[in-house]
Amino acid sequence: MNTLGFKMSNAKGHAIGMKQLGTMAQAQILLLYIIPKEKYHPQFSIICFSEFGETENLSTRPLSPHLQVYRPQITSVMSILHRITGVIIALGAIAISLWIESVARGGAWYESLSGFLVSVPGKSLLIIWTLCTAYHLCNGIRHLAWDIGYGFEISQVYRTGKLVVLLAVIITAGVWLI
Amino acid sequence: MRLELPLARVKGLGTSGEGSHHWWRQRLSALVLIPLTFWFLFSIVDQLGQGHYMVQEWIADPFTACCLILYSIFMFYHAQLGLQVVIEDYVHNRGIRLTLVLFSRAVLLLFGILAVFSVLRIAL
Repeated sequence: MNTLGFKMSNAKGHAIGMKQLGTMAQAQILLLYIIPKEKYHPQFSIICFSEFGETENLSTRPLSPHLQVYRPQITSVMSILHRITGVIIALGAIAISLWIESVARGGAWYESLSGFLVSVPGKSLLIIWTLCTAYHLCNGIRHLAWDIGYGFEISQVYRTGKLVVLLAVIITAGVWLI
Repeated sequence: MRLELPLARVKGLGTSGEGSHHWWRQRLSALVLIPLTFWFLFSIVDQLGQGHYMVQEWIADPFTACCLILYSIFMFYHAQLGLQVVIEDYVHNRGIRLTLVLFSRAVLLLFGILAVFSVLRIAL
């Protein structure tokens, strides 16, 4: 049993340790070089990973997807951006409700809050919030299209993805420049 | 092959015990938010530099007040559904997960009610 929770054994079914695994892995890599790709078959594998360990070891097994070895792609980056922008918009929603509350309350509280919103840091935050909202809005429409079955071809996914980013920038510019 | 008891199949609630309600509500609230967000984005910018009286006038307008209330309700509802999914995906400890979901729900409910009540206070 290793730290991954696998029971490792050689082709004969004898248990092996980490040291043996290293030697065998080198042999395995050599095999991959020797055998032509089209003739390679899983039965050529000389290391066997079989049977999961006891239940308490299951949680230490590596979880998929392995983000640390995952090359960023437009699809995965846009997916995680949808989440991140969503969380930012939720924080912005709290700020909006505070702003409306300040209008209801009036006085110094309103003055200081609206003073902050027209200052440079306030305006920068507002523009970031607008960009996040525009992105989440456009990408959300893209998600809804997927939900009813449109746009699943990989070329369409890339095209609509780039369109979403472009539209988000155009909407943000439109909101702040018109 | 279905690894499901006939009773579970009839109930249609799946492994999460909630069926597809959460998914379905997230899509419907998203659909409602499309026009509302466009309206909000393009009308809020004009109000930011304005004096207190002008902003009060704007919110007190019946159309604005209705749209703002709808926007607040659906925005906070959608935010709650979304945050719940994010928390459930990344927090693996059951106790912490439930605590965070309930806490985010409470905070968003508080600010949602604050927004709706403030609009009513200004408009009425």
